[in-house]
Amino acid sequence: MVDFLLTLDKVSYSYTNGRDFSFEDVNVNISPNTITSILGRNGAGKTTLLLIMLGFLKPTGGTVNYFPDGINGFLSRGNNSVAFLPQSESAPEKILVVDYLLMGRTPYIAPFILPGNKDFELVQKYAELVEVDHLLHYQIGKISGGELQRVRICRALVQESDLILLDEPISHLDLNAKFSMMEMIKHLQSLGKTIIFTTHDPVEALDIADHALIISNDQQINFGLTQDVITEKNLTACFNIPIKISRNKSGFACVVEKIV
Amino acid sequence: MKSEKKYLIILILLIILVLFAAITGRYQGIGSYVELSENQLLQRLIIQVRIPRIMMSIIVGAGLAISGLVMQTVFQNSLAEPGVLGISQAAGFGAALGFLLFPWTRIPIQFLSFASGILALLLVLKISEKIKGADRVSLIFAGIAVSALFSAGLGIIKYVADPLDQLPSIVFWLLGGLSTSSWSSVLQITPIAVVSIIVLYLLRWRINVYALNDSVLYSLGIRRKVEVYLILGFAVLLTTSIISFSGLVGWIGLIIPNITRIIFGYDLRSSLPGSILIGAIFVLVSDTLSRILIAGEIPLGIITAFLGAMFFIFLIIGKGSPLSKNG
Repeated sequence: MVDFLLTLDKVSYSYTNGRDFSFEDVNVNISPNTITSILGRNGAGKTTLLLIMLGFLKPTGGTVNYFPDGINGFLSRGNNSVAFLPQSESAPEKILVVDYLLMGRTPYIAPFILPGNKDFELVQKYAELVEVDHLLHYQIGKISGGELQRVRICRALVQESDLILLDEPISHLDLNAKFSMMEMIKHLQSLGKTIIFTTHDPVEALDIADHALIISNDQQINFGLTQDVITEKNLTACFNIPIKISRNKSGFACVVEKIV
Repeated sequence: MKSEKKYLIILILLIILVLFAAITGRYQGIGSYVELSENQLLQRLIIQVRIPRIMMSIIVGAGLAISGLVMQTVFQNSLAEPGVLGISQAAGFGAALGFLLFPWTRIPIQFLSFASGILALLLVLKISEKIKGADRVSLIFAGIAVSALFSAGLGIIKYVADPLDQLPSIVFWLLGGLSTSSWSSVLQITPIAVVSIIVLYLLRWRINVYALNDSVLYSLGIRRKVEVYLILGFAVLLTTSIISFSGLVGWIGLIIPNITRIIFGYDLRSSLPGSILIGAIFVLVSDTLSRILIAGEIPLGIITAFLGAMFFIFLIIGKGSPLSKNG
């Protein structure tokens, strides 16, 4: 067992075209089989941080390291790849769900080769696991938002990488789908996956995340155990309004803003 | 119906059409098998004239259909194809420049046509990137502009060309046609076309994947820019090598992929082979019509434009139109 799956070491990043944020000296250690939430306001740079973790954006300073291989840079083949689900995706609407899921096998399939039986079997297996197997022969454009989200998760599973990055996986879903997506993320963890997701809702972080990274209003970054980081003080610094954390009987945490 | 069954039906249709095209033409007199085996002029006509022309039709149809399909998939835009993006016009310009400068040989024509096709592609990509608030229409606007640029260039070439000798041959060639097909033209065009078709055919599954977001492709281990440029390069090579011989035979790259997707679905594993067959049939039918309809010969480009425009109208007013939002 390795200590960490992914580390950010003194990472800094700033947009060259004068976007209004930059990070400095970000240190993050992601342990295997944990759930980490990245919390911040809209436009705070959550997605940028996630893309740096993916390796898609190069940090202007510091290093991003992947373990156990300790590779720094482009992860291309097989299990070394990092699965990534952007917030919204230009999924071609008229292709079938099964063909879309097969695309997740790309790291294992050489350029001039077609997916084979083994790839189909894996798609079938994971589709059953996340209960989208009844959708396999529908067109992507014909399924609901919640279903699409499950299908995309399924694509990440089909990719069979240990690390899964999710950009705002829960934000735009209705309550019902929201709940099942949180269950899904816990389920991914039980399968041995390591998950990092972004959100602007502290409840999601408190409910399911082991670790949290919170970006304050002035680009200060706090990383640690969720209960140490998602505090009233940090939340207030993040959202720039007074925030209280309370718990109801069923144990769910909820956040109430104090009306002055 | 399964894809295999559809291929079989369409393949049988293609074979029947090939046989029909081989025995049909202005030269009358195929009444019987006996005549075919005794009339040596007819045999020579079929072997030396009609068969190479049929082969050219198949290559032109298959090649233009595939490059249209590949571009539409890569750009996620069912209107993107060499004609709309200005690549065909550029190929025409390059080839006409070749006619003008090196009238005695064909090799510079193919090369210049490829070079200006690539130039047009790069221009379209750059311009559409720069359009503010870019969406799927911006590619089409960029294509219109680039197309107009090369049309203007073509106009200049026509203007300076020798009106007695060069101009008529340029104009006739631009109208598009296969009437000059011979075994030597088949030999000239086949190697490039077949190699490009095989490369794109083998990559048919992977080309599907390029439709995903750049960041997702990165996570799947694909460097999008490198691979996409390479594939578009092959599509341009295929288009321009065909156009430098056949002239501007339009509408195939636009219409055939849209028809093919209706029949074979959106995955290139089945729609790319399908577009080979349907493209071949479309051009073979058009070319056969072009030589049997009237005593002379109607340029092929006119027939494909007519049929293509008819199909296009049905397509855009129909269900699942490529102009509708989820096209």
